[in-house]
Amino acid sequence: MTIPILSLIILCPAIGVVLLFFVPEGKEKIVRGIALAVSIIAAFLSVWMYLAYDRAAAGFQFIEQYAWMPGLNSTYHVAVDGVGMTLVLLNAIVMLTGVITSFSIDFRVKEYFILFLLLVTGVFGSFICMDFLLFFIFFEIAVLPMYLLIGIWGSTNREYAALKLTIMLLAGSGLVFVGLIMTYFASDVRTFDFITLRDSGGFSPSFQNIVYPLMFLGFGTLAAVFPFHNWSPDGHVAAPTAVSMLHAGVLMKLGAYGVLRYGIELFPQGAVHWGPVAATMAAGGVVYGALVAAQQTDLKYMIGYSSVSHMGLVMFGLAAGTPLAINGAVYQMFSHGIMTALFFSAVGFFYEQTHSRNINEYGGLARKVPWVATCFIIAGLAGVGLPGLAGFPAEFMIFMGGFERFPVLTLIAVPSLVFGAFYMLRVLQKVFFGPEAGFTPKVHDIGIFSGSARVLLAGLIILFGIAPRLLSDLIAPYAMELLK
Amino acid sequence: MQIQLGIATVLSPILSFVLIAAVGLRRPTVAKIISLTAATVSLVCASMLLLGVNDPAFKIQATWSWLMDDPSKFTIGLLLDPLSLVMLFVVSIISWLVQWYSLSYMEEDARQGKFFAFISLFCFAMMGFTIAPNLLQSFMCWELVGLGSYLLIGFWNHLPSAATAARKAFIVTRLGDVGFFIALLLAWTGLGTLDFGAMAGDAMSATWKAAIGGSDYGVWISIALFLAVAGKSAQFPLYAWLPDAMEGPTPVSALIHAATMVAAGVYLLARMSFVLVLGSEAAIMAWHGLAVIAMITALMSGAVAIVQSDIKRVFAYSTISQLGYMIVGIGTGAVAAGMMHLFTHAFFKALLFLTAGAFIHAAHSNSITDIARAGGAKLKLPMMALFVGSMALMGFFPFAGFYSKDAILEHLFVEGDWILFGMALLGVFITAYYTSRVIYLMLKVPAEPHQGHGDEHGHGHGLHLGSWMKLPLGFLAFASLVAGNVWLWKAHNWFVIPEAEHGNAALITALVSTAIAAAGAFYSARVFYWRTSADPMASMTGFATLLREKWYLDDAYWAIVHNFYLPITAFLQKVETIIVKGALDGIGTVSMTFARGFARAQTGEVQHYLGMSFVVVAAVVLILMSR
Amino acid sequence: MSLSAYLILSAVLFLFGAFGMMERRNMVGLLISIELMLNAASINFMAFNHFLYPGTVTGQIMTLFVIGLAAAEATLFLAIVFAVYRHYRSINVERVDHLRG
Repeated sequence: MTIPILSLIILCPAIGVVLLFFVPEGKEKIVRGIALAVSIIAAFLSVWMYLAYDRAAAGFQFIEQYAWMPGLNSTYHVAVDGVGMTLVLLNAIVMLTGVITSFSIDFRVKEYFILFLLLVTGVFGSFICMDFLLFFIFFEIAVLPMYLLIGIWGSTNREYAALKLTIMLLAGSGLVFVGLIMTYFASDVRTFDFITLRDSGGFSPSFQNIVYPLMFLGFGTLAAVFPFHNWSPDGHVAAPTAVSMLHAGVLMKLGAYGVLRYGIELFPQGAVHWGPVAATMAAGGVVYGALVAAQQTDLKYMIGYSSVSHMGLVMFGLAAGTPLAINGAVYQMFSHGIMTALFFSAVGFFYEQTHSRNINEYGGLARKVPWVATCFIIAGLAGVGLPGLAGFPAEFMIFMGGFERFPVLTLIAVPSLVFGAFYMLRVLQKVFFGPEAGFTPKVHDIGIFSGSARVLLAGLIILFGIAPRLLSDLIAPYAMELLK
Repeated sequence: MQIQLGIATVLSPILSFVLIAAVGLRRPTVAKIISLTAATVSLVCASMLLLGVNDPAFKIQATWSWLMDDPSKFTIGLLLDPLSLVMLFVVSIISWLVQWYSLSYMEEDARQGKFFAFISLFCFAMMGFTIAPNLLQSFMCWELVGLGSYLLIGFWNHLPSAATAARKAFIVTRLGDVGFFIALLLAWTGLGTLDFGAMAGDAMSATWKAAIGGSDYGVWISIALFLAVAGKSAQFPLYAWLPDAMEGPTPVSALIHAATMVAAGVYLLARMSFVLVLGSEAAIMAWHGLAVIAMITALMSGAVAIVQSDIKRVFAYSTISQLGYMIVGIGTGAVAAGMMHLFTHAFFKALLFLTAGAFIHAAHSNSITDIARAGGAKLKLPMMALFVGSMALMGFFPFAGFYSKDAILEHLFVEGDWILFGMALLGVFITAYYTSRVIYLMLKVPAEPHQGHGDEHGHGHGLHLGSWMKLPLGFLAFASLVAGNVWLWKAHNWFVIPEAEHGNAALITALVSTAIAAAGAFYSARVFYWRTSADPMASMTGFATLLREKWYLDDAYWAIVHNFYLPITAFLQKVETIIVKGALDGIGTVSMTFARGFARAQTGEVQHYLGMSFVVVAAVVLILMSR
Repeated sequence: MSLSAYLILSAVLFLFGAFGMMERRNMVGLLISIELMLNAASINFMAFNHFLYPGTVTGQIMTLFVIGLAAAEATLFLAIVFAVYRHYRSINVERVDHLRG
């Protein structure tokens, strides 16, 4: 008998949600304990699945399929391939570190963790669901708790940011929903099953050219594709630390994943047709985000715009569509996920102690809190694309692959390496180096437990920078398959 | 066997970095032992490897797939050939000496552990770059070298000047790295390989000459690479980071900014010099153009060195100038001569920097006059080292610099490249002038006692030389004397050295350049020692200002950043808030306005709703009846 | 008596009810008006049944339903009226305008 490992992974946070409902008010230790326990189990299961995945066979594995809505030909169908595996692993990591980081939350703890785990459930479900309808439902589950998490536990301008984020994302999913229905009625097989839809191959080029933009814009909004990115920095800034981690770490990846799976895979000809437009938007985002980031004085805004730039790279890789570029794009989803999680985790650490994120109000932190500073610097250097850290293999593959198809756009995007260094080093210098200034004396170094989250993320950034084959071997067969 | 030795050479520094990071950050003694042990292992292995080479065609390569499961793509590994082994030897011996020297230099610093960890990381990056079998590994290690220099220049990062210098170095060299990356893109798409051996294969000849976009392939890659070289090897217009990099501890200046990191660009050119064989006429012209730029850089920076009062900055500008010579050599096709100058320069420039460090450590000031006032001339070993290093730098027989500089001059002479030859001779004059100036200023202590502050540490205590500093200074002084001969003795094992066609070219260039160097030193003595000639800078005030302002290159950077780059970002920030954010908020405002209009119809009075429904029903009925 | 006489009666009743709905401000008045309109509808059912389909009882059944519904509705309505009165201290519909946009 095989273990239904994917269902177990979704069930972990879902069970956590149910259990938390029954915890009486005020028992915050139990609440945190349950959240930590389910995230550890989910992380453990994900790593186990990563090890158990048969690399030689590649393709979809750990398949489970049960009838769900037979009338609509919609089934509960879960499976992972190299891409899904990468993202499930990412989600498990961000969930675990996010829960650890969230231990400092002390306002309505139970509700917070319920929504947090609900969001994670939605993300897990979206990554492993092979049924378009069910995917869409999980997708909405992942998006909606964000509104409450930002609106209730957020900071700066939170109602505005929460509303803007939710409306933008719902507008995006509106487009996706239209595309979903069109896809259902356009295929002869009348099913929501992704694999059947993809393999039936029955979409006419003109239909693909109409539906692909819906998918690209709908999911692309969630991935903060330029110029539909403005909700994202505001959302990052307003959200509480761990929610920023999830938001930038996995939720934006969900958008890129949607473009890849339900855009490019289902409508390859549409993707090729719209490739130049998509690539232009993405390359614009890469440069634009890096330039605008140089003007930010709020650390979270800086990271928010750097995310726009980095997600632009992901979208650029997807738009280019060569195997190398796709591989790089998926790799970048992963490395950007752990990188921003680390960023936000470190910024949250300062913010909790001083209630300031303004880079001008710090100075000389490196000597005061060497551990957190080192983690932040590692994340920063990974963001700059330094070899040996996880950002480099991704950027390298994206540019290498992108250059084959869009040489000029690639040459426009490559200088973002310098722009990135410009804003990142400026922040590092202002905040961490120089004499102690501003709020620095108020900051104290981190406890071992909450530090473990940051050290884990920093370690992963180094690990996946040194040994990229840990992931690229999983993704490469998928990318090759996609080319056909 | 060689492979294992190569791996041991490269991996021992990174092992040292990891170990120090794990256990040695707070225990300086442990850190020192780990770091020195690793450096010794590297040095022993690198020496054994180099001694084992006695054929220019020697080549061993081993690669492992790194990025994907395909051994032919994106690999890392090692390429051991004479070029890489010579470089590996230079890097390992200089880094060993510098670490030894740092035992004294850094002894009062509380963060020595970190210092040795960073030095180890840097050595790993540099060695990894040296043995790289393909452009990918070259690029990765090249960037890590940049990281190492960032960390080391900014080692005293509580000083804003050090943090700024580190940032400047990283960003300016990264500008060059963009060129490197573009070269990678071009090589991968055009040649389908990044492997040096495969790129140099005869089969690629047609591709190298293939035309794209109005020029040919070799030209584009060359130009992209030149950008990289200009960044890392500090050539015009990207050299201004190097003098600022002197904010780092002096051993770092010696290691990075004299012997290794800045030589990386030269080494890369030597690696890629097969383009001169495979490429078209246009590509060869491009390389020649690079040589011209390098020659101009050499003159420009040499001129700036004349007016510097900071001893490290004099040597920093002279480094830029000497790198220019190396690139002139390689750019015009004399790869062996360029590498020879790299080899000898590494020793005498490391010597000069370490000597400067000894003076600074003793006198607690960087200024030449302050050191002289504090009695720097009484430190016998450093003065001897300064003398030897300077003689080598000026290129006097029989010091090492004489042979290597002459090799390049002779090549220009034989090629009949009179413009470059003439400029190179002018460079020799300038070099002799500013180098000897330092010695004269050291010897000629100002008569009036110094009243100011800044050198309190030096006064009255007598200067002392760190005990660990003697061995490196002595050894490097010896090496600066013999490195040229060692090269001449051994080089036929490493490189194919063309026989000079004109038998007396060597003699002519040697005589001419020595005479010119002597003239430079003599004139400098008249100005700075005997004071019988007026300082020429006094009469050329405009030119002197130009030099003191470093050709306004820093101001140009400043202007580009502040008048061009930052305004663009500020403009985009406005676009972001006004247009992008404004559009979203505008959609929100418009829909709210409409909503308020419609909301007014909702009076909340049930009879209004009722009346409205009666009206609607009546209207429907009427419409239905009228049909 | 012809069908039209019944229809006229029911129309008049319905109009009275509708007028009352529009005019009355008292909630109990509204309830009475609603009852009037329901009764008008019931008369229509009965009349149509009697004149167009004699012998069947469909109309009467509908009327019984209407009466039952009216009773249930009156109960609910009065409950609401009580609640409204408790909240607003008035059963004037013009005062109850919380839904105003």
